[in-house]
Amino acid sequence: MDAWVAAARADRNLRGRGHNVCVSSPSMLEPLLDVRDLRVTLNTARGPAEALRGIDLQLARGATLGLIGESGCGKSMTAMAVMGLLPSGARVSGSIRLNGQELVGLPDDAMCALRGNRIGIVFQEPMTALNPLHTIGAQIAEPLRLHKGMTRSAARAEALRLLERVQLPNAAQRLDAYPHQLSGGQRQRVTIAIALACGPDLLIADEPTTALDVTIQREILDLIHTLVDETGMALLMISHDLSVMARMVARLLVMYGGTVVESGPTGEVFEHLTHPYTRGLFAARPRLGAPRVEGRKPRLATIAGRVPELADMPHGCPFADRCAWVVEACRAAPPPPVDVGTAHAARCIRVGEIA
Amino acid sequence: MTADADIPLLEVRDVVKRYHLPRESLFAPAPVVEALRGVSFTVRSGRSLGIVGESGSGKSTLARLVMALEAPTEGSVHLLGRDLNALSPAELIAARRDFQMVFQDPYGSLDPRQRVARIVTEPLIGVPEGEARQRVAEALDAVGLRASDADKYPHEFSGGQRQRIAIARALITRPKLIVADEPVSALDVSVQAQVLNLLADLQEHLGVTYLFISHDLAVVDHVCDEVAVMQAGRIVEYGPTEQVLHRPAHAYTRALLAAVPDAPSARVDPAHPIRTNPLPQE
Repeated sequence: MDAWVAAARADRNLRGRGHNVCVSSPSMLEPLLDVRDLRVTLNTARGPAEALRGIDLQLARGATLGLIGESGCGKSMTAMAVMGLLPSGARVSGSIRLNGQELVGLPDDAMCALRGNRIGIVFQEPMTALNPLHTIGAQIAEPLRLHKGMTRSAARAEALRLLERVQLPNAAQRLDAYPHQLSGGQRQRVTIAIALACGPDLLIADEPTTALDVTIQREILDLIHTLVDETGMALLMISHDLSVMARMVARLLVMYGGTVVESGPTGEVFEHLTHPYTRGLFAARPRLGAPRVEGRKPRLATIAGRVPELADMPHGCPFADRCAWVVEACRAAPPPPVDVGTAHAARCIRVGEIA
Repeated sequence: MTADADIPLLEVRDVVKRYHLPRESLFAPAPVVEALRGVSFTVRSGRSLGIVGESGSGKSTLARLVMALEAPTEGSVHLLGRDLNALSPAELIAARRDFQMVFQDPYGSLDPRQRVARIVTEPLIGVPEGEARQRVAEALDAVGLRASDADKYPHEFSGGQRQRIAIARALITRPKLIVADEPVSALDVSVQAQVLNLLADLQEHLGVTYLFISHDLAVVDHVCDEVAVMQAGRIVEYGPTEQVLHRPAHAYTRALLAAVPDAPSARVDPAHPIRTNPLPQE
């Protein structure tokens, strides 16, 4: 197998405590985050439409889990549901339990007490995540004063410690800097410091490096990796980038059309691509060093058609209209997860014939 | 492309670009930033040159100079042997049909209040209406959209389709050179594959030359015959793609490559290939 899968595997072995719980067989221990049959209905211009169609996921303490998929697959929506940040008018059913506490239907003030406290969040765009009118010191101190009731001076001292922790150069001088005075990578370090401030149980990172240069990307990923290892917080990482997932998470959920189409240990999923959508996603990616034929690269494999609009999502398998393997039964009912390996499952009724 | 096969399509010679920053003190000269510090390269007709580098390395400044949107402080940009900055305004407008641009963001680069037909015909100057309509249909066809799409608005299209509209707008003048500034960075993986295939088809069928700016080394490796690696306004490494990306000589190129994790190999069984989406030919 190539170096990439080997790296994912080595990484998984390295972080031995990352005992993720299989989606289809819940463990005896209560997971940190336990999402069951999560459904979210949004009001669209064309009437109500289901954006999440029964998501199940479990994340153990200190474990790492990745949600991967393309725009509109529901990966960010899942994270938003966990954070209680769904758009107004969204209807939620199912269950989201964090530390055994039910988050679905939780009043806003109780949710506010968790967000930024037990749940730390890092967003894609550090410039819009930070308030341009406040110093970064004040922004890191805010959750500490709010959730921990720290005094102004104690919060400032802690903010400095956090900035040093995220390796911001000249942290002491930067405490009074404004976001515009920092580079993109430095700003992302600040948002990570804010997310870490209250020592969360769960860090949600939604495309944390998409807006950054490649070399900076790597530094930020390494930082998140180190912090997750050192603090023992769990990581829920959202990305469209397969290579980011390979580096960061022990377990992977591939999402399409508001459902999890494939789930399994990251290395195992990469090694045995199972669901037709997962295969299509991998095949469509240009690869560094792919061989040339007569000086040119062969055409990239593409997935026929496009992601249907929410209101048009097929009743059965959401991928049915784009799948080369489709049969009538695919359209009849949403396919159940089929085990294809150790803790590796795919929602495809023809998985036996494909794999 | 026959008679001038020996003249490079695009030649950039010793280009320097300095910008003046706002004055910091009344008693000191305004600080100057040197965005390009002596850049030279040539692109032959029908080939693709990739420009890679990080934010601030001068990639987009270079694109603006090649598009003659700004003049270099020193040096020159020649398209088909003509110095773009020596042309009169009228000559420059006429010359612009030979070089067009595709931008990164297909949401920001199309006017939401104009129909596709108007967006796509904008670069056509002095073409009779009947012919313009014909050319729109041709351009839309070339990028795999329907002629009936001309009457729609940008919001009716997905991101990948919008990028096709932006490419149709660039194609309508039948340009020799297309400057593409991060044309697939805002697109999802499967849509990105469709647009990259389209760019390859257009090159094969129409002989278009690309100056392809990207931070994504795998994409550049896929599209480009040659690569120039930029750092702080200079080209630090320049040569055939295979050599630069697979046997890098410069430390900065190696650092860029080291930051890219190995791509996963696509394990597609040849007996059961993923159903592919062939683009309309012709």
